Amino acid sequence: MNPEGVARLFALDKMNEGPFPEHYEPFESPLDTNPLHAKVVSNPAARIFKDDRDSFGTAKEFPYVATTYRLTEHFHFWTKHTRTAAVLQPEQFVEIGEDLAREKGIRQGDKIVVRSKRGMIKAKALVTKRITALTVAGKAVHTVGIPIHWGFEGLTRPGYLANTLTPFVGDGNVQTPEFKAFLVDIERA
Amino acid sequence: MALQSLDIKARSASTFAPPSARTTLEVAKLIDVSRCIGCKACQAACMEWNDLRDAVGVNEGSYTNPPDLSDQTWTLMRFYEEQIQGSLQWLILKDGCLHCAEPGCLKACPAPGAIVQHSNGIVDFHEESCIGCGYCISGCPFNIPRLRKEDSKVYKCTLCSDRVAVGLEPACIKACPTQALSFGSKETMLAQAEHRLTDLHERGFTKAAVYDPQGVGGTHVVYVLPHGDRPEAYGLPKDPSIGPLLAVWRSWVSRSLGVFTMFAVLVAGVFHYMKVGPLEEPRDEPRDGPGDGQGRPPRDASS
Repeated sequence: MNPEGVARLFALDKMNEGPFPEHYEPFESPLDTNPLHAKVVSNPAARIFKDDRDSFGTAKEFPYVATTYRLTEHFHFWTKHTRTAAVLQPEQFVEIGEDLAREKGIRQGDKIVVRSKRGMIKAKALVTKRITALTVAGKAVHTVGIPIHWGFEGLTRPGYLANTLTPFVGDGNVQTPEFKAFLVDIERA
Repeated sequence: MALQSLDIKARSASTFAPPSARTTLEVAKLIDVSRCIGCKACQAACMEWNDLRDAVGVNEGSYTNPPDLSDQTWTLMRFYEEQIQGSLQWLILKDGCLHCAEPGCLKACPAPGAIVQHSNGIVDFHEESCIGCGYCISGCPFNIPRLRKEDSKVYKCTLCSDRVAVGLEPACIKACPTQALSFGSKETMLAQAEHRLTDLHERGFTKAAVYDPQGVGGTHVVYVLPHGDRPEAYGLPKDPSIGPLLAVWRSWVSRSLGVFTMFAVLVAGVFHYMKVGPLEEPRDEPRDGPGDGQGRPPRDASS
């Protein structure tokens, strides 16, 4: 609260989809709509090449939300050639919640296949309590966590490149790729 | 590892008095679990300093890698997902030797000088004297020492006794990015732990406690556990102690029993000799069969 008794809201006019922050669904969304405004579902300022649009999957075909992230043991992909890091995280894995694991008959340490419309990877399943199903617009949405650091040569056991799964989207301002939200399907390998 | 013969307080399978002219500060490592982010920097630092490289294993569906302590893994981050008071807690424990004040391993060890306790509290294995019997493994209430198959020697965390001896902190402490690990005199560490407890209690961790189990005389690796009422949720024994069998193993009882048995056998032997006399071998009798009829053993026809 300010001395004049009201709040202030600042925004620069430098954002392409600005001036104010807005919620847009990712281009691959588990929902067919944007719950806040159905007319504009995804970011209209995002950069997408025409042909890449065809490589987006639908929730019907790929029902689970995936996200990619790094692990504390790693630094980008540089540490692929560090033996200590290879000992600490020896093999590629994918994290799924207990509900999804039960639904799919996947047990701790099983080899699973993760597919998006663009590609597939195989990895060990790490079934965790930390990822729970979210209820989004009345619908249960499961999340698949995909740590990156595998693919190419390295000292760990061979793995797949997580970015074979990710979509080709550049955000509206700095072209950051949309690697944190996309759709996949999983099954036991 | 580092041999500081003046600072050895106790030595396995030895009875002579330790040198006592020099006094050293009692040290401790404080592991504040509430600050740990599970990055495994301590584990990497341990591998680097001690030149240990465990095998690149497999992921069995866990963040705990390698899956267990080994002769190449002296400290290990263990990850547990526990429901505590209705909420999910990701408990991360830096596992490794606790350097007990009354070490079960040292008490169990039958090899003179293979396990020593320094006056600063560090319990160290001298592998060159180790006979690979594995008694220390059964003697340890925390399941820490690991036998290496290739050389039949037992290995565990040394609390970087080689670094501490020259005034450095252990390698894991140096690597920790969140100050979850600290090192200093036991007194300071306990004071710091108390300070952390006050903070944790204020933040709603009303069961937070210091883990410095008195069943083993206190330890020189002390934990601050946010859920201190349930150390077993972290994989730590609730009330560790060295077993009663181990207590008699190197005590006057077992020694006296041993000496008594030796004398009893000697005395029994003397009486047996007096009563029964020496054992008489029967003379070889001439045998039937293909001998020469004069008691000589059978030979080949050619000889």
